[in-house]
Amino acid sequence: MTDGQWSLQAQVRWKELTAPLVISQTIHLPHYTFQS
Amino acid sequence: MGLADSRLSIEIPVYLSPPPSSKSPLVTTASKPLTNGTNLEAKFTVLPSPSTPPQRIPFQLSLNSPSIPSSPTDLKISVGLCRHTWTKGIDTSLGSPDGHDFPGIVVGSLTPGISRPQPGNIGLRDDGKGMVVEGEYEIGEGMTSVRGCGLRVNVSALLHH
Repeated sequence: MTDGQWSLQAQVRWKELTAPLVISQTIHLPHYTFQS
Repeated sequence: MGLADSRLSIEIPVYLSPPPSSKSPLVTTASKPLTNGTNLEAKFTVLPSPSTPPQRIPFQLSLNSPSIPSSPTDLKISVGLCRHTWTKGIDTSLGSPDGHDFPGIVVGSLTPGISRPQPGNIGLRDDGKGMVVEGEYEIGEGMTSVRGCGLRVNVSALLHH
């Protein structure tokens, strides 16, 4: 993952799921970084 | 004759133009087995943000399964923004051991019947084939805008007197 790339990640938990479902999409947010 | 070490520093500002943001929806899919042997299919769509820089990121999460009820109980969905470049080693809450997440906007049970989400919230509707979760990720105050970066060049020279 290069600078400016982020993942928007969704996690689904449900009692019928054998494990949490995690799905993510890489998006580009060049304007944002961490405030360290 | 003596020697003197003189140093010259030059700062060269460099401004990087950000690449254009995507104007098309970004779609990805995933599947996970259920305890009854069927699968839960998920389609995650990230929609273009209406503003630059984006303050809110609209998304849709479609969930389909032959056995999913129209009003599921104990269904919890969280959505978060994360990156993994220079935060390695920080534990996360969304199952990624080597990254860092900003907090998910919603962690809680969904209430069927919400047709339109409020900012920072998610709603659930039945589209006839399954459930559609809609929402907007609102970028928080912990993220700052980067307007440019600089390149510093140090030059060192030895002068003979």
